[in-house]
Amino acid sequence: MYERLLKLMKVYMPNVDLEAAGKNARLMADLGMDSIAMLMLSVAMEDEFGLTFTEPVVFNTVQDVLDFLDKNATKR
Amino acid sequence: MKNNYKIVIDLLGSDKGPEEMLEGARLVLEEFPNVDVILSGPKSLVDVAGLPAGRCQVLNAEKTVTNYDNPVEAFYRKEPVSVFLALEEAARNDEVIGVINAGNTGALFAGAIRYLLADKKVRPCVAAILPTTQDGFTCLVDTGASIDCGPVQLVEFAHLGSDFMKRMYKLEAPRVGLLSNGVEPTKGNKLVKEAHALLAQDPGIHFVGNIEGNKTLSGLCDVLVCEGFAGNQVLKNSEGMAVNLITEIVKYGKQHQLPAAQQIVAHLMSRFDFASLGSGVMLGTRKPVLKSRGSCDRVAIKNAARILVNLAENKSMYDES
Repeated sequence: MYERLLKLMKVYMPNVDLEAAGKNARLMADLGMDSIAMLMLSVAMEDEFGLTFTEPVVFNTVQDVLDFLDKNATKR
Repeated sequence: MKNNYKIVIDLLGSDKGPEEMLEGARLVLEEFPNVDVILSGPKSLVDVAGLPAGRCQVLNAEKTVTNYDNPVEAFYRKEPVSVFLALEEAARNDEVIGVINAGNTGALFAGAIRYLLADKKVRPCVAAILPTTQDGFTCLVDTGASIDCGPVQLVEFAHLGSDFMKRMYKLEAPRVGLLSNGVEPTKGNKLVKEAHALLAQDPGIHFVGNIEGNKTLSGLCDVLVCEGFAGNQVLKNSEGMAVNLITEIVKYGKQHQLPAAQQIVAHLMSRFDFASLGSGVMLGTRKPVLKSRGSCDRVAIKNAARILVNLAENKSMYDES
């Protein structure tokens, strides 16, 4: 799951060393994502992991995203 | 001329209110007999506007996203939101050739990403079409949607801008310039230098090198690439300078009773009137999404519709001049 998420995130953050940043990296403060990048990531996650966002979900860290995927992903 | 084009107009969110947008819709219907409009906004207002019922549909929504709202949170509201209804309609209705909106840019962007993204790997951007002193136009991209960019993103902007100028102005190989503080490849910050290297070796781009800030309207390139922060400054500085110069000529002409000044002002207004030039164009979407400024008037809406019709009919904008 982590590797698939990193692959998606790299599309929107090609200049960030996500592996080095680690799972506790904060998406906005540490990795420099903005609201548009977050939205694009969420759209891509819907396809990749079989999700449908029906309400706004706030992710602080990469680990938050992984926890969410653990609970909600239908494509594993 | 093909019939049955439909243009979706979001009535809510502009500074002048839905009544002005409705008058813009009226002008669109008068100017383009082959275009019908789909109006996203309060049905009660459309009902009393007296637009021809056979050429006008309504997507009823009383609410929009204001500048105080979080656009992404607004997307999940249970009640209909005009901007999102407009974009959803564009996504599902094959007859729709584009969307015109003058409201919250973040909401438009969020909705366009949700409904109309052309390539899920390419982040959309917003371009402005600026008149040049060579009687042509330069596509400035990005104008503020992506404040911080990486070099790869600037290359994506170059491709999106080039594709747009090929379609819009029938240019075979649009010249792409990179905004910098000097023409030499060694000039610029880290981002610009890295982007310069990538653009120079991209076979799909006709890269003409760095462009300095004082040459942005000189017609040296057809697409001017920069990150959104710089692009927004270029756009607003150019507008401000044009307004200041025109104001100064008007003032001087009146003081010294120079009739020729009026002619000069009329000419400048026709070339550099950013309001009537109209709209930012979102690039990277499956259908054109035009972002008119909040203060736009009915004429700007009509001009935005002309852009959509020309794109749909594969006509060059130069055919209009």
